[in-house]
Parts: sequence; structure tokens; C-alpha cells
Amino acid sequence: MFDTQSTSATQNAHAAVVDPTVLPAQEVEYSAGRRVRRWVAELVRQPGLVLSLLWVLLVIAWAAAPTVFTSYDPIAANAAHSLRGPSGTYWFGTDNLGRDLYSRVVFGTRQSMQASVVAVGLSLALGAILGMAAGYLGRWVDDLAMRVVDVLIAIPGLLLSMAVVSILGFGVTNVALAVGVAGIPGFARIIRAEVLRIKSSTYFDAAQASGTRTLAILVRHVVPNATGPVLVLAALELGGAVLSVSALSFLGYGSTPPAPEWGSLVSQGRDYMGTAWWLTTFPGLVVALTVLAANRIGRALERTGVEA
Amino acid sequence: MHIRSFRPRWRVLIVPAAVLSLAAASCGTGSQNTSGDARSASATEPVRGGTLKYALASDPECVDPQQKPQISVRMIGRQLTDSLTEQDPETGEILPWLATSWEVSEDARRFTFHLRKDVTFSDGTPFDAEAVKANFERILRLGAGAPQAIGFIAGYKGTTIVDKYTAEVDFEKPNAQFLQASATQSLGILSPKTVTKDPKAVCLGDISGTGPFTLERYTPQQGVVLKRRDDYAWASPLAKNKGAAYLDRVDLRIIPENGVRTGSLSSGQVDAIETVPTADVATLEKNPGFSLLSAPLPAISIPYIPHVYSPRLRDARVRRALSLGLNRQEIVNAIYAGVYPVATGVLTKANPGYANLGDNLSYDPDQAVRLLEEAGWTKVGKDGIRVNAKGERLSLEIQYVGTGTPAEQMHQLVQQQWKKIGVDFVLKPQKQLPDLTRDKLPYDISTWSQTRGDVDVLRTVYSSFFSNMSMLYGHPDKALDQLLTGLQTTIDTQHRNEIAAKAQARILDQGYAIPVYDLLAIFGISKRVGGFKVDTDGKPIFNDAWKRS
Repeated sequence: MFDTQSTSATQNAHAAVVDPTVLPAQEVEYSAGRRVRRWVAELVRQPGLVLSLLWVLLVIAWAAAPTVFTSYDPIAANAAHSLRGPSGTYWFGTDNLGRDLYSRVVFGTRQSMQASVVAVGLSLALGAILGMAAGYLGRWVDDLAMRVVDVLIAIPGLLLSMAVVSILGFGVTNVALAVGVAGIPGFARIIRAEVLRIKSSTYFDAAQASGTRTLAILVRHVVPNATGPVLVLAALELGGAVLSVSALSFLGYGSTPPAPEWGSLVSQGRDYMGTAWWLTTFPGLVVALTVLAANRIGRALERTGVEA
Repeated sequence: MHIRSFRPRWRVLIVPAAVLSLAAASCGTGSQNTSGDARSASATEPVRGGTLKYALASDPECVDPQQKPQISVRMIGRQLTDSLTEQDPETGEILPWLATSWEVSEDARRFTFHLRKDVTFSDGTPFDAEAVKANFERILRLGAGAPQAIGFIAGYKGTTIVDKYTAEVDFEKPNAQFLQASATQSLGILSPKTVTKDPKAVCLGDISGTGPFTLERYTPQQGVVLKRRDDYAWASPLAKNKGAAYLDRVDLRIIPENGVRTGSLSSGQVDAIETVPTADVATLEKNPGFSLLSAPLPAISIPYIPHVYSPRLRDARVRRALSLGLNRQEIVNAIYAGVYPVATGVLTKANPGYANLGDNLSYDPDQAVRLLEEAGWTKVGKDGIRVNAKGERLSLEIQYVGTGTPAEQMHQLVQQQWKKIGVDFVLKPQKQLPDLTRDKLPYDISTWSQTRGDVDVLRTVYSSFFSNMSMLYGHPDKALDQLLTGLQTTIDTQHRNEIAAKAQARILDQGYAIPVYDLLAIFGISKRVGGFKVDTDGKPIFNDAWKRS
């Protein structure tokens, strides 16, 4: 009895030592292959997603190297060519100072995207700290943090951003901060929920029972397991941030002229709605497409990412 | 599972995106034609009754024209009150109104007004010399609370009631501009009962005057409704209809957004709009359903004003160079669709004291560069901006309010033009300009204009006399101040214009102003409306207006 037990125990122990080097590797290979295949199938099934990805790639390329995509100076005025409609020469037409609108949209991408990414990054970072503290420490910290979040949620996001930006003053960085602040509650809530979920799992108990330090538990167990849903939210929030940043710069809080920015381009064209439709239409379309694309990608991540 | 909970939130986000793109896509249609029988509209006789819907470009924030000098307040004030005199928009001549005649003493210190005897205020109080006196005394009490009006009666000594209908106004010092001032709404006559009330309550609508309309209600941010006064019988000499107005009501709606204002007119939601955006002028002109009325304003030509105390602008040659480096025609064409005339002097052509200094305002970048080099800005840096011996860049900052506006676009174009002569023009949009006296503004260039049908507007803006209105406050140019003071001492028009011409030439030579263009008051009017006219500074006179139902 004892022997067999001990043998099986040693066998088990052996398996426990040896198998992890073999089995999980197979599992990873299997799941990665499955994941890739699922992604490909997903893409083929959904041309909208492919277009969204291509559009986002294009926008990133515009932001990274605007000069590659344009042949006109986005700032130099050329009054002789003012208010020309879209054509082969000027793809998006020109504004009343004769500046090529396409160049201005492309050069404006960097400011708009930078601000949006910074905003989401800020929401994510502060939301993560707040959410983790609330979820992990619980008790009064949880109460306090969640009441702060409740208050932030009670104020409509754009209104909150406007309040913050009017305290901070004009400028793209300030707009990014303002939009970022408004995004904190979403991240704080989801991260808190994830922490609570992980806290009730057995591996968390095991880690705690084996005396792992708090920070290590957070970094090794909580963070990796919470990333999936948080990434989905980040992709969705990015779309929202693009919209909020554009809205604030439409209202004049954004970049200082003549530097172009998507929202301020729409704003500058608004007096010409009746006479030069392209001034508002093209920058507006670019904003709308970017927001829709980010949303589409976020949805796709949500579907595939949660199970993985 | 919790991810599901994002969905509703996301839908909230997507709606503005859709609206944004829809609004952008639908904006190309422009205005539609309405009724086609435009000719018959102007041929028919005036119709009684109806409500004229009129779009205001800004919220007046106050309906008391004595307290606030803004054009929107004066425009409403004009409907509620009358003035002692009226000014002919064509000739600038002063015409009798509530005063049937007047005498001015040789030294321009005593003004005697003989008043109409049949006038009453809308609260029933009769209009007489006592009322005139009560109004001037109220302005004295308001002091800084009536910035424009207090300036008009500066040095006020007192009003003597010679008899019930004769008022004699005395000043300590010569005050030649006072006669024209008596034609403005800033000195519009309010009921003796109104003048004793709390100024804040008056501002918000507790107001009674002798005007053709009474205030039915003022709703901040929304609009003003005016109601006809049936027993009105003393209309301005500019109005054909001397009796009660044809319209029952005038509904003034505040529509600050330019495109929306034009859209409201073309869709028939309002009957007339003020401040037609220059971009829409050509479209409305082509449309037979509407007519445009464009009134030149007797004003300071819209200028850039270099602050003489800015370290980089102390040298008159630099200020002159900025003027020479300005391509005014290009600005007017690109920003204002060629609608506004290019400035040809310090004042607009419609001002009675206008002097043509067009030769002084030509575009000559080569001469500008020569002047800058003479002034020590000899080196040109890698960025194309001039540097002096001390290594300072010739960088000039403007602070302004309002983004995406034509004014901001003008700044952008000027930035391009000045860059060609090596000047860096820095744009700094603000929520609000600092509330400081004119000699302490922490930037280099500002813009400022004022509308008034008298050369005295030069004294207000280009002297050193008024802390919040005079550009040279704290940094006087003695010769200029002397000329401008001289305007006060004589009522002889010819003589005043000679002095004013010298002052205008000096202002340009010293580069105290860089005039750019002349503002026009442009109105868009539906063909349903007849008899629409405006006074000397572009305020509608609704007494003759009528509306075909």
C-alpha cells in the first residue's frame, strides 16, 4: 500500500516535474495556432474589420511620417488658390487661405492621435491605480475610491473634460489631460472588477498561502489576467478619446493656429458650410472613420480576446 | 461578461460622431429659393401687424443703452428710446428729433436744446427738460458703469431748466463732440422713473423710454421681444412713418453661430439677420428670395495696433514696416471674400472726418525690409526671423478671444505675410483678455475698433486720455494729444476736419495704427419684409418695416 502509494506519489511527483515542460508547451502551440486561425477566419468573415485595421494603420502612418503622404506645406498660405474644390491637385480642396486641406488633415493627425493616445494612457494608468487599490485593499479604500469614481461618472465625460481644460488653459497637452481625466472611471471600475474576480480564484489563494508578496501578486497574477478586458476597453476608449479631443479642439481649446488639428479644421470650415462643403466634410469624415475603426477593432478584440 | 456593459456607453459616444459626419455631409446644399415674386413684395404698400423675426449675432446681456456701449445693446436701445437728435447716415449732419432745435455757444461749452412738447414715455410720464436733466445726472452717478456715456459728457457742469421744454447743458471745458453724442443711444433718453431704479434691474428689462417699441421680455441667451407702442407719434427724421410702427412685435433671437444665422434666414425661420458672414454674401446675393443691405460704418478702420511700449515696437520704423508688410487686398480677398473694402485711412469713408491716406497704406515689402534693417533688425536667423545685435528675435505676440473665427484666420494670413519680411507673429488665443489698462497689456499687438459718426472717435481711441479705450494711454504723443484736444474746442466742421486730417496723418506716420479693412454692417432680409432701413451706425430702424404674411 505504502509502496504503491509512494510509487504513485513519486510518479505523480515525477509527472508534476516533467510534464509541465512538455504539456503546457503543446498547449501554448495549440492555442496560438488556434488563435491565429481564428483571427484569419474572423478577418475573412469581416471585411469591415480589415478595412478598420487598414484605416488605423494609415492614420498611424500619417502621424508617423506626414511628409511621405503629402506634397504641400500645411501652413504656407497661397491666397491665389483659395477655396478650390477637391481635385486631382488638391485631394480635399483648399481652405480660404489657399492651404491644401489634405496636407492639413495629414499633418493634423499627429496632434490629434498623440492627444488621444496620451488621454487613454492617462485614463488607463490612473484608472488602474485606483481600481487595483480599491479591489485589492477593499474596505474603506474601496468605498472611497468607488465614491470618487461615482462622482466622476455622474458628470458627463465631455462636460468634465471641458471643466478640466478650462482650468488648465489652451493647448493640446491640456486637452489630452482633460480627456484622460474623464476616462478614469471606466478603467477604474473594470480593473476593480477584474481584481475582485482574480481575488476569488484558487491560484490567487495559492499565491497568498505560499507567502508571495503583495506587489508580486499584483504584478504576476492580477495584471496579466486583467489585461484582456482592459485592452478591449482601451481600444474602445481610444475612439471616444479621438472624438472628445476633436470636440474640444473644435471648441478652440486645442492647438494654437496655424498648426492644424482635426477638430479645429472642422471649426475653421464652419463659416463656409454653405459655400465650401469640403472644409468641414473631409476632416469630419476622417474623425468619424477613425472613431468607427477604433470601435470596430475594439469589438473584435472583445469577441476573441475574452475567451483567450 | 462585464464587457457587455460597455455597449450602451459606447452608443452614447457614437451619436456625436454620426451627427458630426452628418452635419458635415449635409452642409453643401446651401440656401434654398423661397418665394419667387420678389418684385411685387417691394411694390406693395406697407402691411400692418405681424411679428418680424430677426436674428441677433450676440447676446446684448443688458438692454440699457446708457450703461453698455456694445452695438447689440445700442440696437435694442434704439427701439426702446429716442435721442435728442438724429444723424443723417449720408451726410453726417445732425437732425432734430426729440429736440426740435438747439444752439451751441461759440466756445462749445453751452448747449441749449428746445424740446418737443408732445412726447411721453411708455410709462406715461411726460418728456420735458426735467427728464433730460435727470438722464445726464444718472449718467454721472453711473460713472464707470456707463463708460461711453460718461466720456461723452466729460466735464459736465449742470443742466439748467430754462423753461419746461428748454434745457441748457453746460460743460467746464469745450465739448464740441457733445452735439453728435446727443444723437447716440448712449445718451438716449429714459423715463425719469427708470433712471432712479437699480441699474442692474434696468439692464435686465425694467426700462421705459420714448421709443416706438416697449420691451415685452428679455431672456438672456435667447432673445428679446419688442412690442409696438400704439400712441407713438414722434419717429426719427430718418423714418418715413412718423406714427406707430407697422409691426405688432419684433422678435429678436440670439443666434451667435454665423452659419446657423444664414441657415435660419434661408430656411425661413427668421425674416432678417444681422452680420451676414462674408462667405455667404455671394450665395444670398444670387438668391431671389432675399436681399442684402450693406451699410458702411462711420468707424475706425479695423486696425492692428502695435503697443508702443513693447520693447520691439518702440521704434516707429518697425511699426511702419509692419504696415508696409501687410498685403491688405490679399487679406480682404481671402478672409472676407472681397466683400469688405480695403482701408484707405485711419477712419472709414463713412466717417464725416475721413481723410484719404491710401497712399500711405500700400504694400511694399522691400521698403518694409529697409526700415527694419535701419531699425537694427539686420540679421535673418535660420528660421527666417530677423534678429538684432543683442540677439533678440523680432517676435510679436497677439492675444485674442475666439477661435475658428475670420479674425483668427486673418491673423494666420498676416503671420504668413509678416514672415516674408522676417517678423514672427505669434498667435495666442485666450478665453478672456486681461482686464488691464491699455499701457499694461502683456503682449505686443492688439486689435480694436469703435464706431461713431464723429471724428471725436479718434480722440477716444488714439489719444492718451482714457485708460481702457485709448491706445496711447500712459505713453502720450504730445503733438497728437494736442491735435485731438483741439477737436473739442471748435464746432466748425471744416476746421475740425482739418485738425482731424493732421491727426490721422500723424497716426499713420508714427505707426500707431495699421489699418486693414473697413467693416460693413451687412443684413440679409427676406423679400417678405419691406421698409427695412438702418441708421448711421448700422442699427435697424423698425418703424418703417413691415412684413407680408
